[in-house]
Amino acid sequence: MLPSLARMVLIAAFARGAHRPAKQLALRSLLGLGAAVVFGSMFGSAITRMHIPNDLALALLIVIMMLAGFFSSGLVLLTMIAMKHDVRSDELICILRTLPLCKNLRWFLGHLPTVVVITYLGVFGTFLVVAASRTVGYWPGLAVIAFWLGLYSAYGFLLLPVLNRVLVRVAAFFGMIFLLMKALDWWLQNSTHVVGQHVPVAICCAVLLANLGYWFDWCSTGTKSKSMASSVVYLKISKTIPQQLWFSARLARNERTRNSLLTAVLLSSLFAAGFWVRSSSQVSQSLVMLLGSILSATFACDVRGVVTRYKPAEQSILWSINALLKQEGLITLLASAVIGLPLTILWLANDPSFFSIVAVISSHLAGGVIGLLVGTVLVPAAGEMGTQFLSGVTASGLVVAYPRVMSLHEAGPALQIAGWLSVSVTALVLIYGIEKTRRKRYGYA
Amino acid sequence: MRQRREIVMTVDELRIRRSNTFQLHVPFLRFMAGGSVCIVGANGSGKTTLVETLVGLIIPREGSVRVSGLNAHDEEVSVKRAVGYIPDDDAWLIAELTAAEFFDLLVSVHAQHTSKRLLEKRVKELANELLFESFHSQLGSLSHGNKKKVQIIAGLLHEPNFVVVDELRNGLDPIAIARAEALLRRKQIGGTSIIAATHDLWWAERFAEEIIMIRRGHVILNDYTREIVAKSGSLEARFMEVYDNVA
Repeated sequence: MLPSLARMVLIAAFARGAHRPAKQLALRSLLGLGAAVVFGSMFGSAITRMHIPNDLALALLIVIMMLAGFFSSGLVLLTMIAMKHDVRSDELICILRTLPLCKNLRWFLGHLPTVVVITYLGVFGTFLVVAASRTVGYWPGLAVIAFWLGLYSAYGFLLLPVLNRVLVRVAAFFGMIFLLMKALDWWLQNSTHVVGQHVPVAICCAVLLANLGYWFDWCSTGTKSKSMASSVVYLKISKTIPQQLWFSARLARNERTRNSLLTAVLLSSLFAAGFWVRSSSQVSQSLVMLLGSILSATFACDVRGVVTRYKPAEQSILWSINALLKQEGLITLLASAVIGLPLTILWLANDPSFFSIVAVISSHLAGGVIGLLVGTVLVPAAGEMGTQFLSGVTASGLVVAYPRVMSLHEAGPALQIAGWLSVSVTALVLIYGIEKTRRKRYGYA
Repeated sequence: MRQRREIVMTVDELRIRRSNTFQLHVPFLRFMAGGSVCIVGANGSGKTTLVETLVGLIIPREGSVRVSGLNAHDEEVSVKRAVGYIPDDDAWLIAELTAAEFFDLLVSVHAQHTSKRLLEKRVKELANELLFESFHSQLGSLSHGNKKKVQIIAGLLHEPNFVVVDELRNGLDPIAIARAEALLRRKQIGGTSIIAATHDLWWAERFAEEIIMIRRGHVILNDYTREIVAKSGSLEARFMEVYDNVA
């Protein structure tokens, strides 16, 4: 029974809409695992070439790995939570609830897709942890265990019952990270102090305590009613919306895009505030560009998904494709500018030269357009966990890879601006071509 | 004769709040073994909320649903083995699975308590009865009527003591409707209780022994069909009468 149920849950999460779901599930799982192994070994070998101090204490290594696992897993899960609309997953939970299954099994099946995602992240991270441990001369076993505990603790933290709203989760998670980092800083400065010797234990306990979230979640399994249509909060907008603003209104009404935008802005603000509080002078332009463009790209992936994938009524009845693309493009650019604003302001404090600022802004806008392109290709709809994850990872990967391939970070501001603008224009042309082809082929099997 | 039947499901002081403006309140209901009850009411009156509470999808904050003396929430697994649900929504099917895969999944779940071979035989029998043949098509690609047939087979597969149906006739062709009705009748004669939510008053009058009428979350009528017809001429006339009076 368990293999059949697990297969159903994984198909619903990772192969939604596939014509051959079992084959797609196997293919996507292998792709995910393959990518984790390939990228893990690539980054792992890069770590061995880094200058990591040889006298690093084992306790410090363990704490750092636990925090790295906690942070990376939390960040990925928060992005997925912000992109996800709960209704689709609720349907699967409803199907499971009509079946005579015991509480433990239903609880496990509900978490299975997330466990798979964390496991892929863990496989990727394990290569890095092993490489780092070997570089400093320790047996990697303890560091790997600490890293995996950190990964799953982040999920436990996000399951805590008090964190039931996306923005509260984001704020609480970054608050926790801030406190843990402060504790780590304090320990490094006062490692000989009597109290300081207990700080690593306190940090590990704090991270492990987050696993209480699993317990609370298990206790609440079966005590919650099926989600109700009335519980979805729609943003009220005037009925007399000008046609030009119709798409913006649709995005604002959609809980998924709303959460995604708010989360991206909040993350950007938190990163900017964090850099400013810690050491703003050490922030590099490439980091500001990278963070802003990744956040913009992750949001932009969701924009196209607001309009239905194969029956684009908005395209054929309300407007032409050109009008739809104009709306999508304008909103994406505007949202990317807003998402990148905190980081742009941070950079303005570092380097107020005009071209440098324009280069940062253009990278954020290009990130948005790249995200829109990926969203146009994959059209991740609500609840399609696999497609959402894939589009987010692909868009982020493209945003990271493009400047490296074109060596933009080493180039001057004018060349950087030209590079980002050219990729934006290319992406827009591709988006137009894809939508045009999709419209022409509509109705053909 | 009717009065001597065993009461097998009771709903007691049920209160469910679905929004700031809607609350379902059911003071008391009982369902007999081998009985047929139709829940009728206008759109948004609370029919589906009541149905989903009976099958355990909605947990009531106040009140209880008891099946054969067991609390539906505390003895969830035992109660769900006794209840079959036929929903009126395509979302209850995993669109990517084929019908055969979906039935295999259900067979594997129910095989803990019934022989697998028997369950597979029942799937074939039910499919023959409902003229369902598209075993190897993905559920998402099936017509509305065929999806409904899959849901009927899924709901009846484990021979439940209670069958809760939401809009049985939706999407089915006349032959399938006749066959599905005949199937439910046979189950009812065999001792299964049928609880159906519907808008179709003509069908409810013909099918059910007992009618529960709901308006804005409140049970405004709970009576035998023959008595309703004797008093008002038809269920439809009584429905209009009751709704007009309350309005």
